[in-house]
Amino acid sequence: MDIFSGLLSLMHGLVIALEPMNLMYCLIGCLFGTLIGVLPGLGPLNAIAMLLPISFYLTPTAALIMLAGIYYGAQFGGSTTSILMNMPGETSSIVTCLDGHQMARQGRAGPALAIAALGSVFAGIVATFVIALFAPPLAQFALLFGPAEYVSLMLLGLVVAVVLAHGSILAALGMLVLGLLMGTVGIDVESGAFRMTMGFPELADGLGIVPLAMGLFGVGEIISNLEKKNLVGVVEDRINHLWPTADDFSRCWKVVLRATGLGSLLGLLPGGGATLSSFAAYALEKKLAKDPSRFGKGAVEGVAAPETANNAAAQTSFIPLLTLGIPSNAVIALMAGAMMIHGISPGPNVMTEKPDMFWGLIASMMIGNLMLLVINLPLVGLWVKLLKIPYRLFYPIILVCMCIGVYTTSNSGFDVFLLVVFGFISYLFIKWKCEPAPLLLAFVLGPIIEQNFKRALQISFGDGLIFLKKPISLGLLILCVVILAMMLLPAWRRTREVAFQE
Amino acid sequence: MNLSKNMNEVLTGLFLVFVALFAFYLSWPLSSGTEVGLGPGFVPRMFAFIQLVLGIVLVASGLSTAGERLEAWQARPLLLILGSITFFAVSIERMGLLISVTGLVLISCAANRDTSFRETVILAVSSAAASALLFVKLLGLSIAVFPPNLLGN
Repeated sequence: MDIFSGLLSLMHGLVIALEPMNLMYCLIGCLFGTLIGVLPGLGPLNAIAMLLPISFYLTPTAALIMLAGIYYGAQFGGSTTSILMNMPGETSSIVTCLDGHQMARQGRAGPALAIAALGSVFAGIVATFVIALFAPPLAQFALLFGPAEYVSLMLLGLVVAVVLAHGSILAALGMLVLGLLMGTVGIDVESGAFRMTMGFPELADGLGIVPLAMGLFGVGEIISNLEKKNLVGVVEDRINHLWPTADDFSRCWKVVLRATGLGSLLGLLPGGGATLSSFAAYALEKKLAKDPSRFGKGAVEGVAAPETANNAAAQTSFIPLLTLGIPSNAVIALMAGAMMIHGISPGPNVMTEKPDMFWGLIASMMIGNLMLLVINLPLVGLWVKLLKIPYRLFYPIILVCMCIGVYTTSNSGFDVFLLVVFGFISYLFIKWKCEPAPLLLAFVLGPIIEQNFKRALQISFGDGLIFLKKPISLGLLILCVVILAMMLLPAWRRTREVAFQE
Repeated sequence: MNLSKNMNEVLTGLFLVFVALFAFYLSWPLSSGTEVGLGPGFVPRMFAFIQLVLGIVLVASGLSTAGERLEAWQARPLLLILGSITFFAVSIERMGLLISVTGLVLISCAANRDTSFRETVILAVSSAAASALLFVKLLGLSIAVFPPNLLGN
């Protein structure tokens, strides 16, 4: 695959992304993503779960364009809340609070917002080209993979997700296996047997991903937010001028370049994504800075780095999904769910079988980023007003959207009951300090792993050693074991804890 | 901070053990496999077994290490939020969208002491009307707005 044909396909994608309907859904996704990003306590995961039912009524291309817009739109919006309220609108904007809010308190909220937005747009456009150039060869390579290699690759993805989860490693492993186990509920594809459905016909298709995701990441969060006394944040709304100074630009252009590179790279990693890369980019800039003590006191680099990196990563994290069929984080896992609902199995074949969708989606990211620049900078006053709505009036509306969203995915009250059950479980996990992200990832990957596992065994006539006999598969499995062993060693455990505290 | 056992790990472990045992019970009737290939019961039981082991390890590890104290639960938000969703689940098919959304908002607002009665009522009525307009009229989702038996069936 040469560069030229990649660019040609991108042009083709642009034509598709510029179709009026697709353009409209791109705008809706970006607007909604910004909204979600701005509002603290609501992430792209909830937003995508909420809009999933609506996406059934769209063409697969429009649906994915909209859902993708939410994901990277949320990275934009998250910075606004971090800078103005010192409250992360998004997990990937946690580090932006450190310097962003300090800048706002010094009366430089405008330049902070502008740098964050400009860095994000730059990263977004570069990441689009990264996808266009790297996805095709990777998909070609993935075609060489047999079922055994797939199983090992997905296991590696899950192991990395465990490493990157906060809290106890053992608990994260537990979440992972729980997700795998929950993924086995429903009719067995091969034998047609009902598995663990407890006699509920509603469970024949398995536990729903929408109630699961919303329960785990929405309901428990609302309950625990209500337990906290202080829900009111202070909004710094003195935004006098937006444009950064020449000094800001000269400090930032290198930072933005580095953060784009780092973010694009970390987005590719299974288990990686926007949040991880924002932390990594901030840490990197702090290390490289001539005067690290400026960080945390309103250094403009401390805003540029994480906001650039998270947007780059949000976009490149589509590469594993579109080329290998492996979602690299929980948000992308929901995206995989959306594709499967439309009858498209994510993987290397998407590019050849649905080129319009594939390239349309990628090109839409470029357009979406430009839209976001307009949505976020001139319209920032609108979002500031939104931030002043108190949470007590806000969470009931979130609940209404979640309930209607869950109900419409299956048109049965049963899934809403599941939402209650998973909501309670997520409350338990919050109390016990377990992060449920590996659970959702494993839940989506579980059935794919099982199918490939069985297929691999059929090919080898029941020889379980096939996973060790294939060289690629063996290499991936060794990597899994090495990573797991390292994480369980006490010395490494401690470094990881320190790393997360920073 | 009073450091004793890591009860968070212990409880997570017990939860995993409980779910694994439940999965064993549920997947008991499923066959493990035939001479041709794996049966429907093999993979669920394999995962349940791994989870059981992990759960036990977590309990053991939690009992042998120190950790943070357990966070206290607050009954009011927990019960009322879950209750409000349960109300929606029960009522949506029988009473239609308007009633279930109104109920959902009324109950969920009670979860927060600071919300005044006036705010609650206004929010409930306006979100019921808005969701009927947005989801049913504009987006065309197939949900009954009014109680179905009112319309004479």
